[in-house]
Amino acid sequence: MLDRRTPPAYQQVTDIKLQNAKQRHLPKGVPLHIINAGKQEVIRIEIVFRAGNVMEEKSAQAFFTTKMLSEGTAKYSAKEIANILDSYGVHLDLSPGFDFCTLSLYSLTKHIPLLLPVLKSVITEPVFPEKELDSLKDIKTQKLRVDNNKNSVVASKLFRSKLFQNHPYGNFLNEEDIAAITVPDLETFFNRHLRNNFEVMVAGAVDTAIEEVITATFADISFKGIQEESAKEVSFPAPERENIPKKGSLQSSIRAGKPLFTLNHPDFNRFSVLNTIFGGYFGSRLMKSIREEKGYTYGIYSSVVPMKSAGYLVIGADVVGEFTEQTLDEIYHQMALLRNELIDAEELETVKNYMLGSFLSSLNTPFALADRYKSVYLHQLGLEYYDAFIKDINEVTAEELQQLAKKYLQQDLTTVVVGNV
Amino acid sequence: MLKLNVDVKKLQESSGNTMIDYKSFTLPNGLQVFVHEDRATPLAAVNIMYNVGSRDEEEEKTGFAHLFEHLMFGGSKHIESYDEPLQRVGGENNAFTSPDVTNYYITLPALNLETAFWLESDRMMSLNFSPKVLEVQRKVVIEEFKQRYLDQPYGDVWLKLRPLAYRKHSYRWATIGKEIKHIEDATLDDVRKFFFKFYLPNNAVMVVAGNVTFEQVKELSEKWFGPIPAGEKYIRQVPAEPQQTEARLEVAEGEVPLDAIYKAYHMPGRTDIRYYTADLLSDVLGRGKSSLLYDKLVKEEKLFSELSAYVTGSIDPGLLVISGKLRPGVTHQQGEEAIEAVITEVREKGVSEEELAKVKNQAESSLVFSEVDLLNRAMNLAFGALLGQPDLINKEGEYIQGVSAEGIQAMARQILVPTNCSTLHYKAKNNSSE
Repeated sequence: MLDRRTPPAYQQVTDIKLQNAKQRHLPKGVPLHIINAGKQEVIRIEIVFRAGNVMEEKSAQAFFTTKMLSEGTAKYSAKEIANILDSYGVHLDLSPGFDFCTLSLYSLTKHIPLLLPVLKSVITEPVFPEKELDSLKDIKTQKLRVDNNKNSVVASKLFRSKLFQNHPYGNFLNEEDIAAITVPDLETFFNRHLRNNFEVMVAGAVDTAIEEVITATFADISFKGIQEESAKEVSFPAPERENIPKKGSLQSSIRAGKPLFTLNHPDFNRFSVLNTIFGGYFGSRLMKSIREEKGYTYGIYSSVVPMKSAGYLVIGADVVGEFTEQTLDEIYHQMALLRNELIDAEELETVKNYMLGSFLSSLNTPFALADRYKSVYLHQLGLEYYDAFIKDINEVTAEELQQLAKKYLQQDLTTVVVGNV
Repeated sequence: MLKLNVDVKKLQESSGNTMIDYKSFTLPNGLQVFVHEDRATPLAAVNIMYNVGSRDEEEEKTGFAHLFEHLMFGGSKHIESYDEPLQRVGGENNAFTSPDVTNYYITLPALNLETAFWLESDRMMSLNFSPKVLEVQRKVVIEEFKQRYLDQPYGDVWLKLRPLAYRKHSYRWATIGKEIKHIEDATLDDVRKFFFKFYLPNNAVMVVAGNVTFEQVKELSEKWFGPIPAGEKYIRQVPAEPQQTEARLEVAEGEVPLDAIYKAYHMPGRTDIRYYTADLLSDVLGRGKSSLLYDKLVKEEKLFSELSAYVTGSIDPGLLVISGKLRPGVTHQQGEEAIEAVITEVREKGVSEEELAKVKNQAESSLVFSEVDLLNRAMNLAFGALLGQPDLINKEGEYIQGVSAEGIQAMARQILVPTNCSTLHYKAKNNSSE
């Protein structure tokens, strides 16, 4: 008779090797990173500009400059670009960020040689036509109005603005900023911060021939290679609480958290283990208590968010409005348990194994591999960071985690609640 | 837990090397098993798709298939907790429910494959039917209902559009359910009946993919799933949706910033070869910035701030949907006329060969990209197998290439007509544009 009660024997994941990128500088200095992986004939080319919102002289510059790159260049109109991209089945993402703005182009490998001239034109000679900017401003304004009707969006924005007061990390787009942005603002931002100031990261089925055409495409660009830091210091505000009641809402959207640290902080990896136990996976304490025992919510998560110059912890959930205070109490209660009691061996082992398995799964595609590479590279770290990450997960003890809880999980969270509150 | 769209797409001719290899066998109890070996990954994916969705629900007990999906994580006959033992071996899991199917999936280090068999076979054999689990998951699902359908701007659109477009077929209610009360009223008795009617080895397909071997999967399947008894074969008796013969319009109002239009046209189901024609027709109309609707009505005429077209992709006859948000000051009437003008042109003049080549390239690209991820490959294979066409994953490319410009025009003439359309006008409260 088959024993269905005893789990089958299992093995720990011990050996995780990440494929390194082939890295070199093109003749005039543009850094090129290549991860050749995967069976499918697909490629992602990312252009990572070494500038983001933090470099803005005027709000909304980074957003609109990035989004407008594909809306007309010296050689192609917006319509022509849209038509070429659609005709080859290309997916293009333009992602403005706090520290870096990124263009990501996904295509079948076979179309890459035909697409490169368009890509080059988009990143080197955009012309920012006024008509297209007006159209984009208008569309963005409408989208913003829809988003600002979502409690979770409002809560996240308010939370971030409280955490990063007087720092660009706390900024978000508003209608006035959108209305005020002009073509010269975009030209200024592009010329100062984006022009010739990017790295090229390629992932997927990259053979020698493809590598050669990519090299030839960007060979004549003289890399500027500056990454200015924001002049503004990240301050650590006193914790506070704000409620924004909204008529007609059934739930309340909670965001609570505090400033923490960046990826290269010595506590980062070990704290990630603590955070996973606290609220970082489906089996976390917050999820077990607030969803699986009390049924207050569809989901509750805590996350550690590292940016270039700062990082933060955020706990988020949409809960039954009437149980808002009970949920907040329970969050504090779970933090107190982590401070006051040692995590038992079984739970700790589960979380360690889960984190290692999940890390392994996260390397599943060439694009995911490239993302892992990119996230350490942009923090001026190498892939050996991940060896340390794996080692730290394996070695961290319950005692160390309790010390970290005492250090970082005190009753001092900045809290915002939007909706039925 | 999370609901995703199954997007089963694959193109054979695309790049020459994208055939998905698989082998299969069927256990005596009827469980069909498909094995896709991929030595390049250290992972395994185990995907079990049950042949039950919200279309199989009773009208007075809607939302049940999805509620049941939550209960599948509440412990089974011999295993108290589902998630914890999986996390312990480095695995992750999730599930989704659609109108057609309920799908459960795991990825884990391939060396711990047996844990997935142990967990999945026990919950296929029997749940623990705990009253406490039902009580809590009812609450969780009600919060999911609120979070995703009620507290979101436009979140209730499908709750309104489905019963407008479908009058007889059980697609007329959403997977989350018609109303919260149905979820509140669910009993343990309902749970038991549902389980033993649908959660049978002979009503499921399993795909195991990744760094595994066929022999290993066969042996593990016989060991863990072999002893589960087959049940009475489920014969689906969902009423066919009668042909729509009149234009339908509903006007809804909500706390939203912008007026919106949703137009749903009946189209062929997933197993009909004409499905691909309708799918490409929707792409011509509203996929990407160069599509007809977007280029003309968002960019050129500036009547909409968002506008797209897509298909629901359901197994039984589905819907081609055009949806858009109107710019302030533009009336529903003006928006309607503008959409109708674009559609009329497609009906009368058809699409150019260039246009057709473009959407075929887009479809090809989607197919190849959908194969990059191991779990996606497993899900695509499972969906085809559930349709009785396991090789669909390798055939869809041909089906797409087989679509002609004439076919698209004929499809437009057949389905893009007012009497085949259900329209929802969503009005922003305090907005006096109409």
